[in-house]
Amino acid sequence: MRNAIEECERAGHAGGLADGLALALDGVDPGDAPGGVAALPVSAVPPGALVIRHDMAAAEGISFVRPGPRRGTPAADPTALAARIGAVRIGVTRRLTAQVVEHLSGRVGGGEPLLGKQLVAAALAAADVAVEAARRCLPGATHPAVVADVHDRLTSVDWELAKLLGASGYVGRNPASGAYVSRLTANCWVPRGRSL
Amino acid sequence: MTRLSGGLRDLRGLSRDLAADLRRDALAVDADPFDTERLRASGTMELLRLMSTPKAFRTGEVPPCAEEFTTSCLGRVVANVELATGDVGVMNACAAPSLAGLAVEALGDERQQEWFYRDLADNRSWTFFGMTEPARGSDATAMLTRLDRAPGDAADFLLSGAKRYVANAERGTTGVVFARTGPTALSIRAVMLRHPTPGFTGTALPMMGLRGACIGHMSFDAVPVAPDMVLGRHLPASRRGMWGAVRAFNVIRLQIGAQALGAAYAIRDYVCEQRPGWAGHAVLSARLDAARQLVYDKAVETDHAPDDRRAPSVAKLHTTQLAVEATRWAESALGPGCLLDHPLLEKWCRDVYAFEFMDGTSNILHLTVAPDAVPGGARAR
Repeated sequence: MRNAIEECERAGHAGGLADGLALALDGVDPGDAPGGVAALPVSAVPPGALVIRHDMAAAEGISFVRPGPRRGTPAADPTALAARIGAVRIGVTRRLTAQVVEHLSGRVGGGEPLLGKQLVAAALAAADVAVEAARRCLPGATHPAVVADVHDRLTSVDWELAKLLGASGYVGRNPASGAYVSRLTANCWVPRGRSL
Repeated sequence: MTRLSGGLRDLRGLSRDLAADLRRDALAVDADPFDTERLRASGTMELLRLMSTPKAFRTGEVPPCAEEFTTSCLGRVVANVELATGDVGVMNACAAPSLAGLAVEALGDERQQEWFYRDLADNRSWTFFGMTEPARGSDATAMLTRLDRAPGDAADFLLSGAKRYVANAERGTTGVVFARTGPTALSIRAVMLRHPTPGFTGTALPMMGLRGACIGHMSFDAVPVAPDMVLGRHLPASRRGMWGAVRAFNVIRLQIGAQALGAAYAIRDYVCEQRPGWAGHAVLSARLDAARQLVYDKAVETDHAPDDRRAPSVAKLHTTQLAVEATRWAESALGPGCLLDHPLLEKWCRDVYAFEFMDGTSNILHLTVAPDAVPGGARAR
């Protein structure tokens, strides 16, 4: 389990959301998606599948499909799967952090580098701490609410990081759009609320 | 605690009625915000345009209760909260005077106001307000766009530079652009511009959400500006430039705060429709109602002290965050796949992020509020 989690984080960090998701979903039937909508790497969409159009997701290499009800017993442990996707998201969050730092390193405000501003430095530090803490919740997690909580915290961290990009994180294809698609992906695969 | 007059309660009711019309176009505007025919054909959008135009410049009738939309911040806020329960994306597609109108009201003389609003009335123009620059963000005093005297004996000025994240950058035909004539903060001036004008280009940028706002990029390559298009010439030197921008931002920050709150209400109501009888909204509902009171109170404070930046900052800071939290609550309440099953909800998740970046990010607003939070600190007036 630990190894799979680490591998998923590594894939999400090195290759991005679609690469990480491909690894996390290895052997998973799209019909196992708890809400009836599966987020899949574009390359894994079954022929003839009903795809929900989402241009931002497509730009990140992700498709949302309605696979129809699964026949038979679910093969995947939904909590373990959600934990692997959580690890992928941690990798994506780390990518976002690096891109935010790169963006800010060239910016000046009031004659001072933005990276040197206390509010900015504190936000980056808080994201770093949150990632460290989230990572340690995933290996061996057996309760779905624990994993759902990790995903919620990652969504929050991603937003705090995206804010540091300013409006540049809201237009065109940018690192924040990848984080947003990461949230949508979690929304498809993480059991919570009425699905439990 | 602010209590609404009968007129404001009527305005609130009118705005609630209009919100239903805005909702009908929500997904269509998100999919194609440049479908101007759809927007032009909407009677509700036309009424909103008239409501947001000062009475002296209106070309059509509005219900008596709508007068307060332009005469007080409280009226503007009351209406915006309710309208935003329809759809904030469509609201921001309205061809209204918006920030440019507020800047012209603060900085323009009578003739300039007449010129600006007559153009809006005749052409039902979308307006633009160019302040933010590429790589300069919220640091307006560091702007690079210049307003220089034209060479020779010409009386005209030339505008050169670029602005980014400007609403209606491409489709706007009338607006206000800020530039500097010299190195100091007092040398920042505002000019009125028409689009098209030689040397002036506007390009839309693809947006994550709130697509009705049609944010984009503007560039100015020695754009000629007649002297009578320079705002604030009749005002003291200290009030010719940024003072007007600050006043306009104060009103717009309240408006954005109201829209964020309205969007949060829309999200709450949508979830409740999906789960009739469910009591899981109680905490969020209480927070929304308290936030409504907060926004009303801050609007009243701004009506009394229009140059005070703190009150609008508090309102926008709180409701912008609350709207984001409402989307997460909805996600949790409706369960897996809900954001793909409910396109409006997914759209609102993207829309409410925009409020963070409009007219003052949370970091900038925190710095505005901070002096009051520190004992002995100086107020941000």
